[in-house]
Amino acid sequence: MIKSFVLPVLWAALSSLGFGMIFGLRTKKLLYVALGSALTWLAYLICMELNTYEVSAYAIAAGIGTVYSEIMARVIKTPVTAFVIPVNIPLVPGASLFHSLLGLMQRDNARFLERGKYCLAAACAMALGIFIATMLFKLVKSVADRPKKR
Amino acid sequence: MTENENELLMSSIMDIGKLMLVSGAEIYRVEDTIIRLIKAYGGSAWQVTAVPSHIIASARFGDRELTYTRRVDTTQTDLELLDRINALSRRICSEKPEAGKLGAMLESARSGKHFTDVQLSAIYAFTSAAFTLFFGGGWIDTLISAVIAGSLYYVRKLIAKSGGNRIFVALFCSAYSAFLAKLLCNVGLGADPDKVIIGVVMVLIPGVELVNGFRDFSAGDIQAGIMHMGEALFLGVMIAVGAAGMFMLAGSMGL
Repeated sequence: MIKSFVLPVLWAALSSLGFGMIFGLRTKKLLYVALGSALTWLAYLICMELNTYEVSAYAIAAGIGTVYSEIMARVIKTPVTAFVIPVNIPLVPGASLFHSLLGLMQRDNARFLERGKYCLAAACAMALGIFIATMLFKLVKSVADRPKKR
Repeated sequence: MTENENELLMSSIMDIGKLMLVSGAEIYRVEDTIIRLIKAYGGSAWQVTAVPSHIIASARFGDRELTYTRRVDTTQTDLELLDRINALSRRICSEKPEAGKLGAMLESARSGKHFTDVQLSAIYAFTSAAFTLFFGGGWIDTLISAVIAGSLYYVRKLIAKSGGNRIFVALFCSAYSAFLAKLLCNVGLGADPDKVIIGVVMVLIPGVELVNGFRDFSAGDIQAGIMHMGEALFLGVMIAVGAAGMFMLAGSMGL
């Protein structure tokens, strides 16, 4: 339990915290970034535990991270970018890109294709998750805002 | 307002837009902010276009139409600064200070606190240590990746200063990290050079371009999205090529 859930979530949160600082964040926003990142990675791990396709797990996690960022940005009044970028960082398939190109250079075609495919699928799933979450959020917002305008 | 004031106003508005784009704003936010500022000062018939590399805006003030452009050729992601400028632009919209004061207001928002070199080097070390643990590295690997990333910050700064463009910086920095990781693991300090390298180079990934690219697409800014995504893809592949290439090269030299 600790090894498969608590520690990975903690490391994901710390990575995002560091990334937030690299991107210039320095106030209590960092705390919310770490929290959002933990939530995102936990969503991914739970999806994997429920035997979801790995690609869907990426999309769902990115979607949850984005919705969290949109909500938090409104709660503490800051541009969404400040959250959505660091929160989604653990999902970036950097390791598989590296292994894919390593496979290419070592003339290990199977590894190149397998890792490359995985990297591409993960990146697309991440894009889809962010895309759908942003769209949904806009929809909900426009419905929620409507009565006030009249 | 006089013609001179209008020109000064448009110029200041463009500076605000440019600074937002440089510090990591999405395209729609830059366009929205410029339009809101023009509206607040009574401009009409505005036409605003922004892409990651430049901003063009024109607006009619009185009987004259003004067109201004800004070239954006650097990225200095600073999300805290973006937050301050965003708040500043809202304040300007509601208070409408004189056009002459906008420059000074922008300058004071800009001069917030920044991390020092030593702090940033420590942040690089911390982040890559967290990534190494995240990718399943052991404690020694984590320590090594922290040391490499700490030095990587200074290497990156040095190359960027000596005029290297972002692609060259990415290639060189990842190759540097891979070489050190292989070397240190070979003399018995680390167990798994793979994990060390990935942990370190994750610090270099173009997260802003990637995520903003996705978000540009969802906001309907296809052209900007393609530019952001293209940059992210190219930088990402360059980082991986640098790291994997050096990994191979060091391996063939017997490291």
